[in-house]
Amino acid sequence: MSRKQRLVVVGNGMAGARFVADLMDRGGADIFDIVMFGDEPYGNYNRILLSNVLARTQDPKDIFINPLSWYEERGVTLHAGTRVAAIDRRAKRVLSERGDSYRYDTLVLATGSSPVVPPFQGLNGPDGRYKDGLFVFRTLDDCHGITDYARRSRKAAVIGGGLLGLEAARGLQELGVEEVHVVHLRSHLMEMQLDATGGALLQRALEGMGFHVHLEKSTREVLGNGKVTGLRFADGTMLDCEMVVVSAGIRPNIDLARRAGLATERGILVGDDLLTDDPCIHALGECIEHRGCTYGLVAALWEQARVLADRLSGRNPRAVYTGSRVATRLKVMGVDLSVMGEQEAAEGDEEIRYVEASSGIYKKIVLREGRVAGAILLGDTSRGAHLLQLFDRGQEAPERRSELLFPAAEAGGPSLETLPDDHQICNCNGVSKGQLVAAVEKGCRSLASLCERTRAGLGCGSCKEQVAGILELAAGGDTEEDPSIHYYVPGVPLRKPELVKEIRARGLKSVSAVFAELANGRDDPKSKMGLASLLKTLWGSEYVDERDARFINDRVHANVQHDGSFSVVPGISGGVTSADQLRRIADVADKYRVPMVKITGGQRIDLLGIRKEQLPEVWRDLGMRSGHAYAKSVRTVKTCVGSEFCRFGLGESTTLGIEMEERFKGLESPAKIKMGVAGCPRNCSEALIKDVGVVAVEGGRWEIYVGGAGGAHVRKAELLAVVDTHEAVLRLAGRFIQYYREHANYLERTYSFVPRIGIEHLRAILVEDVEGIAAELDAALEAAIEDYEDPWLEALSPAHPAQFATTLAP
Amino acid sequence: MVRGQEIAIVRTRSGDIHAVQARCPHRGGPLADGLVGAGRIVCPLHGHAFELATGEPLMHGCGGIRTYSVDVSADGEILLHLQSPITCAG
Repeated sequence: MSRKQRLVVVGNGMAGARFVADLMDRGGADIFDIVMFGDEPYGNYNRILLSNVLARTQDPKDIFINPLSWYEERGVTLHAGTRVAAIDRRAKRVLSERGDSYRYDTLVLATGSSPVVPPFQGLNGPDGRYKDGLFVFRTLDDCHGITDYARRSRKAAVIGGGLLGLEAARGLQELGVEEVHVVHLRSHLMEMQLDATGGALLQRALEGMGFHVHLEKSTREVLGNGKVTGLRFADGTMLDCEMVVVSAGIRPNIDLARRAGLATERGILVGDDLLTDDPCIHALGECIEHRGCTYGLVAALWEQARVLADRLSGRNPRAVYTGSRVATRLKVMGVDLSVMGEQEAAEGDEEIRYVEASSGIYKKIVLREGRVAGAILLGDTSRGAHLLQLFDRGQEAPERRSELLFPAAEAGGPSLETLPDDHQICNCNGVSKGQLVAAVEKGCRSLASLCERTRAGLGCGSCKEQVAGILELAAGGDTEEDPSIHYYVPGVPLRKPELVKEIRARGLKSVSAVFAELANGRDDPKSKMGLASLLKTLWGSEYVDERDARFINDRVHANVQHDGSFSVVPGISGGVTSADQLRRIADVADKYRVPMVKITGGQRIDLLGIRKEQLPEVWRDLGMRSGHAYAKSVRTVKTCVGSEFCRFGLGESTTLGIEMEERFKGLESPAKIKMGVAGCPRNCSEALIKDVGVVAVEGGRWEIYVGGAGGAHVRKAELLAVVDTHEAVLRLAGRFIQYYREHANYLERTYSFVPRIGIEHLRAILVEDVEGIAAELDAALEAAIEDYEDPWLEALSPAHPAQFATTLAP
Repeated sequence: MVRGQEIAIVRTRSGDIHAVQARCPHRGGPLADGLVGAGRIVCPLHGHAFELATGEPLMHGCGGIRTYSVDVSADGEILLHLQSPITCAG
């Protein structure tokens, strides 16, 4: 006797089958006995590829995603070719057209949609069925029918100049039909994806390929007696043809749901939980209407399937579907097309257009408040991946708008598309473009799964944008957004602002409390560091420090090396030391026979190869504070000599640098912060590639820059403000650091954070104080500074007895 | 080090106790210095993760770890069974 729940799925199309597959991946087979009903007598195939089958570039058997054997192997009972005739909600049973009934605990409707055939005159022959030669284009059977008939036809017409209609037209031409006509109601082709200019360019391309295009033609009658001989239009004109394919749109199949009393409008109404108004009945796919939208694009279906699988498998019972951001990348008639968001600019929007009519290239980008609200790329979609990222993340568009259309000249190097397969994308883990593409072809559809599979992006992380770009390219439109990329830490399904809100509202002061209340008690080890950092930032001295939530470096305040030994970097503020400090360091190096003494890029001294159990003694003998070289915190302030000695010095950069480091040392932050102060614009301390850089200029003033980087990623910092005194520098730099601590994602360096927020916006908040939070930021920072304690004082009183016990003999 | 074998003993927050090989199969990192949670242990060097109960590797590019049977006696002593470690093929 099975104690599993009974799940019945009505619909074995792309949505229904994908949902079951996702459910299986999440252990659904242990929870449910699954019965599926499918209208068509096949397993689940990729309906999008039917166009290829028609055009003979693919064999029918190659387009199956889930052949019949797939269901057998997983113990899913599939009734292929059997319709469900009715649902008895009270008895919780479905009735098949054969008269069998099946009980369900949970019912999922994925009944898809049907082609719309407008009520033309003359559709049917004398036997009541469609005339010979009249087809719709939805199923594999339709494909077979069209293929047979096309072979014997010279002239065919496709009613409907949308994506599917054009694909059908291409198929007919491939099948040898000499004259293929496209008849469209509207004034330009593909009006769902293209504006008038784009549509006109597409039409030109089609006519160049030999198609005949008729716009603003409304069909009234299908002519012929039992067999198609032509079409008659509303304006009185006629077209001779032997074959007609109707591709005039699709309509959700809501009949079954409606007769069962479920709420429907255009589609079956569902909420963000994908539930209908019956608590045991869910729905997804083309048959639903969610927040007023129906969806016919596969990316939306995949997202819905994932959310429903997460909910029903218990993997994330609170997963919600909030609608899909529409972005597609397709080839229509061999022409590349990439479309996202809104195609038309509204009042106040900025529009960027590029038209190269002779090459059939058209690019249009709609900007709203400086961010990408929509785009059309026709003929050349090489900028598509980049635009999609800006669109998805809501990032500010570059000031030089032409960069949206073409890659910047200085960006250097070929675009992702033209890179050869052996080009190394991830240098930390040695992953090439070819390996990434192969993983995508094997099924990775989200950035998270691609990185996990190949280990790309899991080292320093600076290649992640490129990896995302290659994912976009290789997967076409079919990528999955993994919502966990937006979570502050992967193990707690909340973005940072919501997470902070919950932590404050519930008074969660320890990492284990956060797991207990916000992650169902699951203490994901990979989330511990990020949570510890966040809690310390939010609660200061009230933070309940559970040592097992700390990464080893933070447990022993030193950097773990490849052989399990540690590196010790004492604090040397601003890179200025003294004979006394040097003597003490030298003595320690001798006494502990330190294998290597090295000068670091941060202008201090590193003692490498120290064993864990020696750490407290080393710190005692050094008598210096921790340099925080290991933590996600403020690291160093690099300085150049400045007016203290340098003949070019315009300001006291060394003094200011020491003041900054003394003030901000060791402050917890989402990612490390490196700073630099230069005594003049010659910038010997490389201040412009620091997270916070300060440069002395004429008139005793200081320029403050933020968002620079000089590591795996190189970025020039942007000017935040120019101020007059050391005190003003400390105040504004501090304010920026506090804002970054509060708003950045975990491990998001300022080189990502600053462009994400936008330098103008940062200036408005931090300098002009438009949000009125400057005083709060200053106060919060001051409190954090007051709470600072040198962690090396644990040499005198360890946090716990085994803190420095050896874990591995060297 | 027990009878010539390097073992890492892990106690989770919920009180479970596990024993696994001490060095990470990837590059020999000190697993006892790793992070533990949700039934897993993560090596501090490069982030390779393993199931504590079975030693199964959770990321590509690395084999599994040996696990040993271990209990805590009534007196609070840790009893480690060295004879038959389970090696996970991974």
